[in-house]
Amino acid sequence: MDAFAWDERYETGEHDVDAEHRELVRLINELPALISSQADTTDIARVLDRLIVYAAEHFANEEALMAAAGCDPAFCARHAAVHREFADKVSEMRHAPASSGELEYLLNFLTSWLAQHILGMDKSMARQIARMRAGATAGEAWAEEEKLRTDPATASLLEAMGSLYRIISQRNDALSALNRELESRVAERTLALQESNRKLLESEHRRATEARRHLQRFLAQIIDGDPVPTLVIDENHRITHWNRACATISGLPAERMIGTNEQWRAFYPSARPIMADLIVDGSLSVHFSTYYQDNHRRSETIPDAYEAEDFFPELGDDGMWLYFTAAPLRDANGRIIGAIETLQNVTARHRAQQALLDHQAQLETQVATRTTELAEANRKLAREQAELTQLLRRVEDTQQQLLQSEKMAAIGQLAAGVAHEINNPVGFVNSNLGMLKTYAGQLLTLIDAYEQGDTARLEQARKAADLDFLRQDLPALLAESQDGLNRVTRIIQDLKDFSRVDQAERQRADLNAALESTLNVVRNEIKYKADVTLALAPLPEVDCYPAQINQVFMNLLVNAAQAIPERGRIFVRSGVDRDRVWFEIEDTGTGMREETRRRIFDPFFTTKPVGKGTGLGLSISYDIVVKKHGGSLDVRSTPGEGSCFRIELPLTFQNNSASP
Amino acid sequence: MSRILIVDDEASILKSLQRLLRHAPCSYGNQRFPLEVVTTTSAHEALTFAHQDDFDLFISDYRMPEMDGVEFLKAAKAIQPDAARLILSGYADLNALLRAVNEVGIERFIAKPWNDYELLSAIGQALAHRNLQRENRQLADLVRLEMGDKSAEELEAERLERIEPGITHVDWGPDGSVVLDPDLLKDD
Repeated sequence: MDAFAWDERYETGEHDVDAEHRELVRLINELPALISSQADTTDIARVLDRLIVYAAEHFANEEALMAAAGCDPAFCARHAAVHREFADKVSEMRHAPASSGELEYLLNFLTSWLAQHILGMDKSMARQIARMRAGATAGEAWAEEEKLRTDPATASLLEAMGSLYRIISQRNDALSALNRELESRVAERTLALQESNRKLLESEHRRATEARRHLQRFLAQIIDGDPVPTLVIDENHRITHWNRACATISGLPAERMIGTNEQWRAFYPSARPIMADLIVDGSLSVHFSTYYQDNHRRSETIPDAYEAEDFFPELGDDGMWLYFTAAPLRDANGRIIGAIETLQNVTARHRAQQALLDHQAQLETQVATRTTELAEANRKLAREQAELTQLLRRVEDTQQQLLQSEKMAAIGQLAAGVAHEINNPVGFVNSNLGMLKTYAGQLLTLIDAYEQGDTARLEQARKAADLDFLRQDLPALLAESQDGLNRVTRIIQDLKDFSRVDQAERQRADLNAALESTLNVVRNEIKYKADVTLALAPLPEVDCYPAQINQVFMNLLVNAAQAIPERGRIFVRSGVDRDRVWFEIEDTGTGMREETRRRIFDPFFTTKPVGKGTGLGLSISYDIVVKKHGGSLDVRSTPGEGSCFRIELPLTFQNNSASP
Repeated sequence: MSRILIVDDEASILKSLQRLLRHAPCSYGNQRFPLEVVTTTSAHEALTFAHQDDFDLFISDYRMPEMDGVEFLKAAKAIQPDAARLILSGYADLNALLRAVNEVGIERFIAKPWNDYELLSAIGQALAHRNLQRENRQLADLVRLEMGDKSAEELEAERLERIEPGITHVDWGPDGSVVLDPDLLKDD
């Protein structure tokens, strides 16, 4: 319901003015709803502000209109004064503290003022403007208005006011009727609620009683069905619960125990308090030590509860170990109203523990025995190890001796050949020198005869000296002797080359030269058996122990010669294959069968007659080539045709063994 | 005049020995032995010589390419059993020495380098021994002939046999034929 009901009476006829009036009315009509709904005062203030601003704008428009139309200045001034008055009044009220009563007053003021102003002042203005448009002057229009002063404006104002008040009274009636209806409805509701409340209380009470009973029964079942023997006593030490497990363990049925205070019967031959009794008494700290000595303690999980473990000889067949826990029961105020005690048969655990202890003791004894045995075995092992070490050292010594003896055997063989070679020239040179002495004697005799000039003696001496023969033989004798000594020198040189002391060190060596020097030494030995054919390709220097490689060459060359029964040939070849050098020593000897060939590198294996070979030559050669130099030593052989040994050595030294 | 055959693969040895033996007197006791020396570097050639001529003494080196001294002297002994035998070697190997003594029955083993005087006296001793044996046999034959133990024909046969061993021996074949070369039969 609007506070200001607009109708056509308020139309001035000026279109712009009427539109603005309607907007003002709309703004005013927003207010009652806000006031009655107790809305936030800021919302009301906002509407009022908008109203004030819009009113100011509207007044300015009206005054501009009057000026434009050229209305009477006196009228214009009055009209503007009324406007200002209104604006001042509203601003003042706007800033006053806003109670709901004052807001209603404001609303009333606004509606009444606006109605009166439109009907009076604004309508008069519109009429004057209309007249001036019709041709009247400002003064005439104003005069015409002055005549109307006492009539229909007032009447229409009164009529408007009347209709306003009618609307208000209607609205009040409707409100009071609504109120009455509401009040009766509230009374009805209250009555119904009271009734339903009463019913609810009754049912809740019933339900609570039922639940309590159920809970008690449930609790009794829980305790009774618990496999842990459990008993409960009240504040007077009377038994209230004695579950089946408890009856079983004690042999005392619940019906005999519940209600009595003979809980001690289960555990002790005579009356004494059990742990639950002490808890109910609250005399824990005093009596616990008396009854339970030191084997009790406070529970770690439940406050005020105690645990203990003890042996009860009366229980069961052979007595029983029980682990028991007692806890106080308190009411809502924390007062102790009883105690609950649970018992656990830990006899099995105790027995197991005892068995475990026994077993452990037995084990410890066993361990001790074993330790002694082991220590003894250890000592024995250490002794054996020491013996083995000693044995090993002896074996090593023996091996060293064997190696030495093999070396000596090889050298002996060599020495025999060399001796022969040296003894031959020494033999004839020596003999020649003897003859030279004779020749010299004869010649000196001849010279003596010449000096003496004794022709008879001269002739005799000439005959004795056989000068013609001497002339021919003497140069031959000297040449042969010279040659013999040269040969000895060469053999000595070869020997020196072969056994150069510095070749025992690892170095880069020309192995072709080493092979040739070895061959020179061994040639004396093998020349009676074989012709040696050399086919050596130029080789790069090889990083190795030349003395050891020489030993291998010597072994292989001597073996080759020995493999030849009558007379044959030995081929010595060398070459390079990528990063390896190779040597081949091939003979046209008897060759080997497969079973012999497989064993030739075994130590002490020999096909030579006893005393001829140590059986170590090839084994040592293999050791030197393969293990010490990282090369390879292979053999191919055909019985009746001969054998060929092939050595391959890497150009860079690769040691396969720990020491050279 | 005693004939000596010397075998050594070393020509210089042979030359020096020839020098020595050409000059030096080979004597034993009061005997003097003028010598005729034949030398060769080849054992095979030496055996050929042994087939062709009589020798009083064979001297051989031990280590030689074709055959060793013991083998050579064994072969020479088969051709001329009465000749004396010496080994002259620089190879002092006990095995070689044993073989020489046991298989060939050498008179002496002389090591190289040799002492000229020792060599000469060894040669003289061997030749004297050889002469003694020969003389001994002649005397024994004479006694046997006188005592009628042996006929003159038998003695002549023995003499021929000494000159050419096997000449008095006849190989009869199974069919009554005379087998001149038993090796031919073996080859069949």
